[in-house]
Amino acid sequence: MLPILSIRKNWLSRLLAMASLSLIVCQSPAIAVDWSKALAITCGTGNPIRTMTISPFAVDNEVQIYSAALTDQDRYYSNGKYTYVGDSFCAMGCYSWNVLHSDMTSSGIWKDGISIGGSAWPSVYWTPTEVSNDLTIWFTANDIAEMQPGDTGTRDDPARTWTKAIRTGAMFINNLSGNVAGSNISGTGLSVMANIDNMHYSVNNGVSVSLGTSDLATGTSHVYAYDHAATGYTTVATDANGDWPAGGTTQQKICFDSTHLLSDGTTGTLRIKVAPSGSTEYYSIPISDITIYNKAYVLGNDLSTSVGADAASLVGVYARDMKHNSNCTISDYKSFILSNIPTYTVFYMYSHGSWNLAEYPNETVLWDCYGGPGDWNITDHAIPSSLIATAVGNKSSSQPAYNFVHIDSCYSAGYDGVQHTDMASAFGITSSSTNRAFLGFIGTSLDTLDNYNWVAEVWSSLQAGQTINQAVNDANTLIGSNYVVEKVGQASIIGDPSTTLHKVYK
Amino acid sequence: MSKPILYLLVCYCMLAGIVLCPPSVQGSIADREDNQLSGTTLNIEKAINFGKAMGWNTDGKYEQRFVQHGLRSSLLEVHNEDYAVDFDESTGQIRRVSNNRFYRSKHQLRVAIDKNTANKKAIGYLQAAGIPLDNIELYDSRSAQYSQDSYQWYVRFRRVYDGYPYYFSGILVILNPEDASLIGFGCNLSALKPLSTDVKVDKAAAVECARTYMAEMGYDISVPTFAELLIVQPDDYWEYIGTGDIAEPQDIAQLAWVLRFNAPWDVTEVWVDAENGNVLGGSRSKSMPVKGSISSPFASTAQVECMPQVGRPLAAKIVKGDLCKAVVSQISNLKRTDAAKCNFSARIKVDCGSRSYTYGYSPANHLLVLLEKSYKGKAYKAKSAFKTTAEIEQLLSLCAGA
Repeated sequence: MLPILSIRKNWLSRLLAMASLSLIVCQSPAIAVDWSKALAITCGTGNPIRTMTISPFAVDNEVQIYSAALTDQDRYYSNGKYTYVGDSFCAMGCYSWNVLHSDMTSSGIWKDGISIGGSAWPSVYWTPTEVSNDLTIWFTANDIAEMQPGDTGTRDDPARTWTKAIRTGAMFINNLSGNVAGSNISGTGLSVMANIDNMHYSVNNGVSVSLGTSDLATGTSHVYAYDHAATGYTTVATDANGDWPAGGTTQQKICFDSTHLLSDGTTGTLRIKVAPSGSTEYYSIPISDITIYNKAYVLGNDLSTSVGADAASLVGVYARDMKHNSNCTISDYKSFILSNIPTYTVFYMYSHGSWNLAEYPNETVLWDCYGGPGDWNITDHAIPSSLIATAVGNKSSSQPAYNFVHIDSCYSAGYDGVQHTDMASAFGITSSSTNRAFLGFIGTSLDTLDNYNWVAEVWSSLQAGQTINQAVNDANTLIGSNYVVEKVGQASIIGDPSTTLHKVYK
Repeated sequence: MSKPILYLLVCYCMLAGIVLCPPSVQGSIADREDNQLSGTTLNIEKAINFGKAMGWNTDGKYEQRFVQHGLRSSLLEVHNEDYAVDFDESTGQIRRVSNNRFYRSKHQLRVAIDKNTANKKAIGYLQAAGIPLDNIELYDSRSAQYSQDSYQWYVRFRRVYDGYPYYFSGILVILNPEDASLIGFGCNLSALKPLSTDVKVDKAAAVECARTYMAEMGYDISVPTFAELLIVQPDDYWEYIGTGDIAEPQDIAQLAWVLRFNAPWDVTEVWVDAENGNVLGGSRSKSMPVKGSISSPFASTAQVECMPQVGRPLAAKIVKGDLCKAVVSQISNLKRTDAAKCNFSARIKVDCGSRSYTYGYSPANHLLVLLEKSYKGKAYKAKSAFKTTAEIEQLLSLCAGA
């Protein structure tokens, strides 16, 4: 650390300071620094900027603050990484601190002779841009003899500087994963890796996720953080140094659900928010420009089934309740369905199903909204798995994969007691899928009120946050009772049975 | 809170889609205050006792809510973090149990138990839940693959009356196939007694009744693949086909021949009253019907009645013969469309034997909407709309002037 001597309102001082770690220059301070109170992090809600209040000592001289964590460019010019000294909030993007505090000089140094102390003592704001860099504050006094703080700081006599290394800390998030396509996120199996280092306050509290200025997922059902004890559940705990305890990357994983509070299409910067005890919320450095992408395509064949329209309408409501943009229709033809398929992340259809038609040998076939008695035209209405696979393959790089597909028709998952996976595979769901599932029937499924009630129970359970597996079992025990296979059908799950459509799996 | 007020509150909440959650309680009910729901304390006590009998974690907070069961009823669910127990509101009997903790782990379950173990365990679980097992018989017990990597074991029981099994009343128990531990069960032990258990119609006669009935509607059902005498809840399923309305079970039970055919649909089920041969209901699969197995239901049409609805009251015009045949032929070929509210300038009634179909006709909107269907004097409301063509509009114009 270089001592900075006689630095007075000039750029040279600043340049020199940059060579050091950081400093606050105080002149003629008649002070007693209470360091224990000097570094309160009082983060403003909804802002990534942290505030440090240095109090209660009073100085009537100049102060500068530098940190090795911040480059000169960061401090003065860079949008979003700005550091300044002042007692009022500065929005991101301020370009110099001299406009922020009337008591400052143009170089950001307090004017001589003002009295700053108590509640008027300036706060320090900064955006945490790096991890593992302590902020060191240097005070330089004209009369070092006046500096008599009974604290843990270091007195660098005769340099007449007073330094204090502060554990600034920061939270980084990266490795956004799950159903992510470009900047679009979808479903309930999203996660980020979080790094917490040198946080002034140890965190032992709940975690939430925000997008822009709004909460995206909160509470124990929609956010799941692995804590250091690997006991799971929604707390993060740092050690006494404010660090993540060692133990591997999985301990720093924070899983979250994009279907909780915000609707499809909402865009903003993604951040993790923790609430340290004794302080207000604390935000991670954001991942920018994220958009929620949860779209459900819900179809019913109303023309040749008894409950197709009712089932589709019901599922459409549940999908909307789970913050999906729900396109619910009973009037889409085969060609339109195929052209729409790339857009969506959830698919439900109540219709007829076939297996091994002469036109589509060894393929599972789904009929569109008009197929059935009165119109058997296969070319016009039958949608084989191979065409669906082609359609799904047309997804762009910004269209997330399917999270859940429920084909409510005969033979959608098998024929004659044998499971077929071609339709699930067409939607990109296989046995190795994680948090993505396909639900269909092996053999026939009946077009009855029992089936409607079964669908209602399945989707109600999904909306309540249950896994596909539990939703199916609960529907079987509640609706089908003993004759469930005969009266509803033999449901089969392909992909991950622990998939959730709402709330994180934990 | 009095029961009527509670009932109104529950109904309101159900209508409004509200899940009613009374104050939760911790682990035991000893210090729990009375709240709005009658029977709540008893239900929680039952849930805790059952959880203990299963060796489940009975600690933690218990919450209650109503869960929808079908279109018109609900169950009262008591749950903690690890399991849920649903009660029948009227009887206080356990209706469903779910071991929620099971679902918090990912499984690759293989079958390691035998049928006897599974059955014995299942009965033990039901007894622990206080489920009455009199008039209950074992129906099926087997493992089944529920996902690509895992199996479950299903034990199914069915209720019997006078030796005849119910088609809608029984129990499903789901077991872990590795150790026979309970994953969940559900029971529907409706006590509806059949109006009669007299079997005056044998299987062959029942098949003929079904064949005749279905043929009247244009369905060719071939030979049965399954036939069993079961107690059913009539729902007039087949009369609702094409009406746009849903067949719902009636609050009666009758002994019927449950017959399954593999055409027109892969599963075509017809319930024939064992006492008098009437068709009581059935179902069909969501498979494509066998081509050629369905024909127009209007083959036996005797007449078409055209009743103007606007202007001065006009007498109905009765159309028979070739014009009648031409009209019903065109109706059969019309494409379904979304129903829209509109004024009808005429009502068209198609009489074909024991059934009649009444349509509203709107030339302005080019719509023909099936409003009502009747069978042997019983009316079924309908709401299916069809887009009219120039051909049928011309024919209906001729009918009006006939």
